[in-house]
Amino acid sequence: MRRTDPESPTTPPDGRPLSEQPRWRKDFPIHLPEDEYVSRRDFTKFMVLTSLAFVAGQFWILLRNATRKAQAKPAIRPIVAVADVPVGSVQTFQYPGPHDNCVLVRQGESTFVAYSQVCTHLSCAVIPKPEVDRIHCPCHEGQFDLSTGRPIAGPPQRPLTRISIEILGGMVYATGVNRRVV
Amino acid sequence: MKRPRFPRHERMTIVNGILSIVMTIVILQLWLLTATMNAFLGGDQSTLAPAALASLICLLLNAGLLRYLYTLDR
Amino acid sequence: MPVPSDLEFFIDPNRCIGCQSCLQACAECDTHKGHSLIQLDVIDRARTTQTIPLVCLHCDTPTCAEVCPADAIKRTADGVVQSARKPRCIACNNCVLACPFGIPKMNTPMNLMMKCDMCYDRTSVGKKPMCASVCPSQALFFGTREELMKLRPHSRPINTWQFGGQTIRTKVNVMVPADTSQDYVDVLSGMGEQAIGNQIEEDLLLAGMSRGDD
Repeated sequence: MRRTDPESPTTPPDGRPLSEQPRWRKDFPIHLPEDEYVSRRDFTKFMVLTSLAFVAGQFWILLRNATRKAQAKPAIRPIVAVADVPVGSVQTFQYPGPHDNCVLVRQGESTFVAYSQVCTHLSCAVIPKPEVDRIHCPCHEGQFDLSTGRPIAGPPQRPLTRISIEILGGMVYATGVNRRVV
Repeated sequence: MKRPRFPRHERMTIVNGILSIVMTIVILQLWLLTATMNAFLGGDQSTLAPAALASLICLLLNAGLLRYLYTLDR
Repeated sequence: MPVPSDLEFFIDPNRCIGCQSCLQACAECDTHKGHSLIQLDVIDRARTTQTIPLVCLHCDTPTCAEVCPADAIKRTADGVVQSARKPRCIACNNCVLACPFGIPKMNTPMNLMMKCDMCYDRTSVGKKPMCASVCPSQALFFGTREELMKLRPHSRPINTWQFGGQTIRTKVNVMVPADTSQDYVDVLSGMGEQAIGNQIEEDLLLAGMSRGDD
């Protein structure tokens, strides 16, 4: 079978070889195996774009980290008087900002623990349960240990952000924010 | 640079090979991204820059492979 | 799975008796919603009962596929030109106009071009297409060339068509007498000729009416 271009399985209507045809004839081939090749190549291009999106995500995280580092350390703030917190009870407060909800639990006479109320799974508000020594997240049944904030059940993988506490002169002060990976 | 003209069935093999490599690298990048996000949310700052650099290297590998694919004369 | 390369399609118009079995068989397939993709061409009913069954001739360089603006028609590796893909076909009729043999038909209610695809679901596993499997005179024959030559020693298949200056080579063969000198069908040479070689001397049917016979 004579063809002007031995590589091309079909001859375009004007009879010229494939190398002289406009680009769209090569990009939209009518020969099915050639078409499969083109669609795989196009998929590869799409995957490389996805790769670019991931790199953009990585650098965005880096940027966010830089802005977080550039922020001033949170100020020390008084929360509540020691006398106002019965043993085994829970108090909510906002620290460092007005929208950062936190919980304070008086575990014993002189044991206070405070955590951010934001669950490390999908940011639901967690509920401390001092009677069973746990913090419970109702959204997906996550459980954290009350003393350490570490996850013991459910989907959360990271411990709750701990708020460091100082007791001075009968007053409970929030002194800092500690995010933990493990 | 003269590019060798591969016959059609070999080009198919080449694109299959390149596609599987690119897919693997992209899945690696996905893992990198999730691990970095986890570290960032947990306050770990030491891993962020190396992870971003690794992801960038992955992208350059992918882009290089894609460029090779396009210069295969089709 | 490609169509076995030794199996080919042969049309012998001389053997066609116009029974329309091929139309009925083709219309049985649900894949094209009961529409027959094969066409039975009645040449010139007033002068002759000759009919020709027309399947898609599956050209080597399919004009329909080349002119499709939506890239809907593809040709498989084994040379079978598929019908238009429904997600892509825009019913523009370009292929209907372009095909030198007039094969593609537009199904406007379905917004889709439909044409014979040589029963690809059957031929790719070695079965005969529906039309060839029911043709009682085997005007439509699907099998090996050797089988055919043994069955019909006085015919030979050709698959080249000459449309003026354009040569079209097809996958489907047409049977011509064995002593034909040409290796191609010269389409333009047949234009303007009468449908049959014999002239009808007297039209007995209509002549009686004008005479006033009862």
